Amino acid sequence: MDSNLPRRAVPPGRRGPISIGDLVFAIGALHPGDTETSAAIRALLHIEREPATLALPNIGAWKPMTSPPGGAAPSAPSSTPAATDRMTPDASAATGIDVRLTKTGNGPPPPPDWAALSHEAIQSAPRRAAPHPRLLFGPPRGRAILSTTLATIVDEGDVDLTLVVAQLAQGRHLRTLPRLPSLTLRRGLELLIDQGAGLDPFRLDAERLVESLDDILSDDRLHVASFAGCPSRGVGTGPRDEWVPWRAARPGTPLVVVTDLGISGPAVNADRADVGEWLRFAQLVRESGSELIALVPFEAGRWPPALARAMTMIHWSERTNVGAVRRARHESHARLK
Amino acid sequence: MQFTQAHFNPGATLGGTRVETDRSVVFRAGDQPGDVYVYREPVILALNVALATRRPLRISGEPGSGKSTLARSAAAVLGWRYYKHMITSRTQASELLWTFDTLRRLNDANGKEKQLRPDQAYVEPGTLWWAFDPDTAVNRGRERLAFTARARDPWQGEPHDAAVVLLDEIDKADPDVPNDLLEAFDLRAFTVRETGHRVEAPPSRDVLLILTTNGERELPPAFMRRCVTLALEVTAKEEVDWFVRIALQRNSSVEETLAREIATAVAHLREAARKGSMRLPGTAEYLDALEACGQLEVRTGGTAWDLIEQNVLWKRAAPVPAKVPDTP
Repeated sequence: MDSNLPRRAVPPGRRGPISIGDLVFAIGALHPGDTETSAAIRALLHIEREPATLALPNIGAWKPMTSPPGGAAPSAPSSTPAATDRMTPDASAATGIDVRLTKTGNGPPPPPDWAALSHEAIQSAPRRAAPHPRLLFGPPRGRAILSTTLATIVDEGDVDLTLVVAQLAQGRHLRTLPRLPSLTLRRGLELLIDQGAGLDPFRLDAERLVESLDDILSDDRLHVASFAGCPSRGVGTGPRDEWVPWRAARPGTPLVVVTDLGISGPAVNADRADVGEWLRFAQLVRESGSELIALVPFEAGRWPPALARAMTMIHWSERTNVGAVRRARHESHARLK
Repeated sequence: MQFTQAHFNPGATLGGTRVETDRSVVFRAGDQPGDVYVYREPVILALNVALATRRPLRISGEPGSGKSTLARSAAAVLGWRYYKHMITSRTQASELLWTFDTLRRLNDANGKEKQLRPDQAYVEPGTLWWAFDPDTAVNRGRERLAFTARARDPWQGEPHDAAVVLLDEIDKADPDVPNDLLEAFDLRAFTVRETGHRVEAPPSRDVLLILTTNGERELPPAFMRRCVTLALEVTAKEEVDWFVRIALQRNSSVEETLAREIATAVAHLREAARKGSMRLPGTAEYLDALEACGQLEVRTGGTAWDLIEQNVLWKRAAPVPAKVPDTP
């Protein structure tokens, strides 16, 4: 292959992010012969398309028409009344994109076919299943996020050679063998799911969360129970009248609560716990030697600040990533230590 | 697609190539089943863009989609040196540059013979050092070392000035690792902390960095902005033909009817997996199922196929009756 062809020079010093210069070199070297290839090169380099090529949405009965090369306005179809049904939207002047809209018929658009069907016919028609919603902490990243959320840090990794050498070089005896921290899931997890009305929109996500955790942890390491309002009022796996106030079963086991923390749901609701109740519960968990982690389906801006300081709070969202979970855990670890 | 394959043209490589009717190029680098790669046009374009701009190429795709095979095959097409580093959750950025054997140095310093050697003798060059500057890597950054103290180049093939480096499954690493590598990627240079030796790739040396990711974790935005990005995706419509082609390329003695039958079944399962937000059975699972069906003479639809579907494609243990019922 010809090494004399145009190629991005490697200048001394930092190159920085991909820029328009990279696009110029790629175009100069590869000579794309069609718009598809040019678009593919821009996509490979994450360089946005030019505004002039953006497609406008087709709105109702108005069909966008673009000018042919040379700038002449498109001629109206013969069935279309001329000047009165052609318009240039104000957006053309604002964006610089030459767009004319032509009305494709007279009157409102025809009704859809199903509007002519009888009630019985509609009822008996085969129904298409509703599309599956995008799950919170779903694949492909869900497993990594959950593993990071649940793992506890133990000093059981490889021998910390740097520390060993530093101590021995100074002539100091090693009283213990220093080891690097490592993450483990062996302490398992206690998962408590809020049955309050505020979490109703997330029931399917909660079910799939339990299934995902079941895949990650063995049966004896995963304990799932329900609560309403705050776990201090009662937790259990059976009928609500059999629930008992939460007690630490296994100190050191992370406790994950899936809850809205009373942020949402009906304003008047006996299942809604206040901040003080949650703070007392967080204190109880801390005293038992466990870490309290809350998965909250609302953004950090809506979290009660006092609670955000008292426990590890993680935004239960499809936008959450491993880095965000790590940061949240490190920050709360340093704060609550 | 129309473009000049200026820097990467597998179709022009002597021997081992075949151009298909859809203009994809089949390249065979060796005799092993994994030595075959089918280059589709978007892949050839991505490699040309990465080489023209001298940017790392980040390849994403589901497991079994051929990300790692692509890197090895690209090195064979180019005739360049090839280095691979498998990233794990414990990988540190410094491992890719160099490691320093502190324990050995301490041992030498305190041994009876007190044979403390120059600091360079305790330096082990990493993958990127070998790619950037193999001449200094072999001497661990010193002017000249005794032959016995020299480092061994992991690449034992034909020598070449340029190199392809595969950092496999970069998303498995701690999120800090890609950020820690930014400077080395950007500058094509780094300094060995213990010896002060500066490793630099000469401006004329080509080093194609290929990073693969299964998409399990997002990579830092600053890192992403420096990479050419290729997603190895096969549309649902292409799946059956794609699977069959891979099966036949890997093993020409495979019965095509069976390969197509299994591929169709796998395509249906993938469709169900997409709807249920589940893990998709990939190329590796397809090839395993095909191998099992071929050797055990199993066709789709029966009880044996159900077990293969559960155990090989879904990777779920299928319940097996504890006791075989007595025959009447």
